[in-house]
Amino acid sequence: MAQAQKEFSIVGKRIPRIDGYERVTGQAQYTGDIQLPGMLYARVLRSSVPHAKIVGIDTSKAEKLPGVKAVIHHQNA
Amino acid sequence: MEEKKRGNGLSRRSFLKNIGGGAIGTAVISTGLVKSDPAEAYTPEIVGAGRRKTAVNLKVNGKNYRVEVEHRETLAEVLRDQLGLTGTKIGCDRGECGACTVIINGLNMYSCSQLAVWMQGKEILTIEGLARGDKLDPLQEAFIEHDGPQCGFCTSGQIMSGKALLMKNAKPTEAEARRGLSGNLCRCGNYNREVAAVLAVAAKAR
Repeated sequence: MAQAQKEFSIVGKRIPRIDGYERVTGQAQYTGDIQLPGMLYARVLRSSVPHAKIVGIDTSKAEKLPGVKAVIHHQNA
Repeated sequence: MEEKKRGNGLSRRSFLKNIGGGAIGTAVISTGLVKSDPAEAYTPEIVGAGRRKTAVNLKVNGKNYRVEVEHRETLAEVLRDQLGLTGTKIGCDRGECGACTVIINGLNMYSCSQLAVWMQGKEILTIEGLARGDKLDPLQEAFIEHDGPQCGFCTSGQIMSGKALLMKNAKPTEAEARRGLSGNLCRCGNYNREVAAVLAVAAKAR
């Protein structure tokens, strides 16, 4: 066993994390850090009342807001 | 639809709107960390017609910046979207998780809960400003050595809180280190290693 450990380059050894530097310097890129040209932003709007019945969805006001490209729900998705 | 009055009737939106309104709100949200000193009171310089943006001069990692911000914008948003300093993370965006922690005038604070317009003349230190060139801050080295980051999303905040603690108290006890990091949640549950990293720096301090 001890002999086998000597032959391994990683197993049984203390290896610093491969991306440790990026993570402690803030350079690691997460999905939310990526900006692409023409990116749109989405927001999920949930019911404000628990266990409610949806009797109607009126998105006309939301669609008129400047910059809004689409309001997506079960009837138009 | 009887949904107008629910809970305490205070949505986050109306809460933020009220805060933006005046200095009284300022004192409430910052839990006293931002002093509303009248001598320091900042007269906003509205730039651009009708754009409702305010110019703010702030110092980030030793560099002076002049940014034009909407009054609703948080410091976290300005750091990430305008200055490109995405090392500061937005986790919950509501002052619970600590991923957005930066050091403002020597104190660790949630940058998601500080409006950018309040930052006039403030000195801000973010994760990007800790290393001196290629030379990492001892706390950053300790975080690598002790495997502080797992997924790493909370790491920037953990390090900034740890750094703020070490700036005030170079040799914290374990209890003090835990308390110093207590405002920073780690979903990987790597608390013991993060505390170990802070204590390792403390142990080297003379």
